[in-house]
Amino acid sequence: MDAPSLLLIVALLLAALGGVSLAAPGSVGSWAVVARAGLCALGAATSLWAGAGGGSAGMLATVDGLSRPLLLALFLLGATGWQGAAVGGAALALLAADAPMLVAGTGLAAAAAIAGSPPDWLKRGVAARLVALALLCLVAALLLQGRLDLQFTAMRGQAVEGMRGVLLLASVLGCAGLLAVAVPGALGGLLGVGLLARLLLDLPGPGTPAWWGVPVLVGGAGAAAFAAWRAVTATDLVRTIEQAGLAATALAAAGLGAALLARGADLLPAAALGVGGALFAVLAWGAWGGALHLAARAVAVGVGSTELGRLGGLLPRAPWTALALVAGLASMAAVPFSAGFAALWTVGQAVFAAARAGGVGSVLVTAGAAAALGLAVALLALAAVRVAVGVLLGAPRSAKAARIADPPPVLRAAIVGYAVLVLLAGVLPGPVLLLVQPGIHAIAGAPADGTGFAGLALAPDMPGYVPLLSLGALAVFAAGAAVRGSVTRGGPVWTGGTVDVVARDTVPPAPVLPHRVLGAWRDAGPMLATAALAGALALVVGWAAAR
Amino acid sequence: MGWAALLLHCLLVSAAVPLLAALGGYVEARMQGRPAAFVQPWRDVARLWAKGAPVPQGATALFAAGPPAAVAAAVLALVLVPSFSLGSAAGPGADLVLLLGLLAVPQGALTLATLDGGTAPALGQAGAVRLGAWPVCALVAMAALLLSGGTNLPAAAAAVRDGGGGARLAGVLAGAAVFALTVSQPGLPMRGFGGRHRALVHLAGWVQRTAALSVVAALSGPYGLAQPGAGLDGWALATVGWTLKMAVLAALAAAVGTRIAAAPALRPGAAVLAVMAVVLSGTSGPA
Repeated sequence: MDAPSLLLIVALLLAALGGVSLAAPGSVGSWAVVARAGLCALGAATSLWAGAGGGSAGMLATVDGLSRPLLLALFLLGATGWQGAAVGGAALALLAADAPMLVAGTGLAAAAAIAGSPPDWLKRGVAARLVALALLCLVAALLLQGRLDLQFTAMRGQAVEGMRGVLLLASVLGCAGLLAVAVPGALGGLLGVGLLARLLLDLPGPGTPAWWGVPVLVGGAGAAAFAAWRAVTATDLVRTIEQAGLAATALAAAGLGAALLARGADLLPAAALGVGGALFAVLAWGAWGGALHLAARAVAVGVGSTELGRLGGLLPRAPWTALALVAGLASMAAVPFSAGFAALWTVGQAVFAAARAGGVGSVLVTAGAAAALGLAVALLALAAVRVAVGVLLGAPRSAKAARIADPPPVLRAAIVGYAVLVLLAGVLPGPVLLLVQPGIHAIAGAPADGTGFAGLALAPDMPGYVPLLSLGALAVFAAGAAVRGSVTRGGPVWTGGTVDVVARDTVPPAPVLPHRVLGAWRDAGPMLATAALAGALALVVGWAAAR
Repeated sequence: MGWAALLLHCLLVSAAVPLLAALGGYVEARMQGRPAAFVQPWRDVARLWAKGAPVPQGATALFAAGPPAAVAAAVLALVLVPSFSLGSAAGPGADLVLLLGLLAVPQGALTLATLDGGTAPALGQAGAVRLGAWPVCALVAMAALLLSGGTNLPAAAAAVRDGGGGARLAGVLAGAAVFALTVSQPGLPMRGFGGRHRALVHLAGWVQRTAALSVVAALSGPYGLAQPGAGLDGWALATVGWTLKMAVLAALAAAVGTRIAAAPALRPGAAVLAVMAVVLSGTSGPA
């Protein structure tokens, strides 16, 4: 059996499983969760196995360079808690090789996600109307693209010009925006990115005008800043993670907009960066979003709530869950050497380079988008700090939070697995970028290795992050070693936190300056020795990697 | 030669960090009418280092990890940033986005550590001030890319140096934007740190300031730098030139910071400068 057929079966099984859960919630127990996670793991493995060339299952489903990374991200996230039928529907939409399956999959995913959403989500009636409108936009876009040819192979490459092009662009943008607003759990964002990539970049081919990229870029960057603001102001851990996920998909949309803008002006390396950055951003979100969702589930089970006001003090009580949270939050905040930073870097390069697509107008548009993306990153960093403080640090703010512990071994292994995946994707983004190369080639038609980011080396002759990271880790170790020997537990917070009340009277009088300096240098000996060793090791690693 | 340049760069910046901190402290004290002693910052750090490293009751390991992480991130940025030569072995890794990200890490790490210790002020104003820094950083990186085709800082500096009037002016504006950001941002969070931890925070601040000013020097004044094949005399001249530039920038930063650090006008000013740099570089950089 080929990969697309297997994926089709996985998607249908997920849809059926989710349908049973929705229809009779009391009849399924924890086995449904296990089955969903297993099916998603099978789907992720099959997506990887599908290979660069992809393939198709008759006229129904196909796996190509665009759909493979999106499917992988979907299954990574789906295994951690999305509604089963929603994951199945989204998989059908991403696998679709023709218009009816795309519409049916999108509709199923949106309907199931809304039906399975918590009651306080956007009013269900409103959400259902918005989704219906989104599906109408999608149908209109498909008719504008292919007229009555329903197969993507027949639609692909058909020029869409003039008013028809304007209507197509408006329909796709409307559909993606409405899905992002109406479908909970950031699933709408993922569906929107898939639709943007398929209907604006893939099917119309390279003849699209450059200006199509402007609304996509501006909308993506603005949506990223707005979603990041919502993440900062959310009072619930899960809501924060969902809004951060929406911001990640909006970042990907901005990358696709930059790719459209650049491709229309024949800036193919920039277009390659845009597509690669967008797909990388979604894949990275699949990993860090999955880690955060799993950690949030562990918190929900342990505390019975994910309200930030009822959490706190997780770091010393549940260290493995905390590790997943730290890894995910670092990527969410785009801290250097994290997967989120690699995604931001790649999309940022594309947005900056797209300024060359036209005159001063394109410079100003891309500058505005770049500033909005910068604001989004700052807000996401603030949201990450807020979550870290509210969940990991301080005293527990509820009795259950004080008794929380790491989850049972199976879930703990999954949490640690996701955390390791996030960390590896950040430190070694090269293999992740290999997964998106076919998509880049399909859209930009340019060899991505000519753009200097294979392995996310920051320049063609730079051996990636590893020497830098080694130097940084050793510097942390050296500075930490210099301090560790002299750590004393101080007084409580109300004394300033730093006053050792008991020992204050026994502290010897301060020596005169020469002794003080000499004493400092004597203590600094181990630090300097470690720093010298660290520097030497980093140089050797860098030299070896450069060779 | 690249590795030799990197070694000399490391030695040079190792000497420059305490000297520039002392110069900044001296200028600041003079500007405020206080008695000025050049060695006062070193005395302060030596006195702190001679103490223990107290940790507040109830703090986790994150509290003690904050200062070392802040120092490490700032040191990494300082190793990457160009100084007297654009041909250092670390040059290819001196990406402006990465550098600006590394320069933001100390603030994040120390904020988390002080919050963990329970001694931090609220996230409010300082966080809001820093939110505005990121769009400016993005615009500066964009100007560098438009000037040189990439966000590599040595390449951008070379493009400014070898470019026409528009590129040079764009470089000056981008550097001025980074300078305004550096001066107008509040200092690293200190509250709650004592003894060696506080000494490390001081050190992180010095290293961070030196790295940021090196970025300013590279963007706005990349002249007189050693060429790839330059001999020892060329290196010596370039080293003297870089030292002078950094001394002027450090004194200027201290003077401006003392006078108008509280004035929020510099922050929108940085944004305006960055936008002007982008527009100029977009119309004058390579196609």
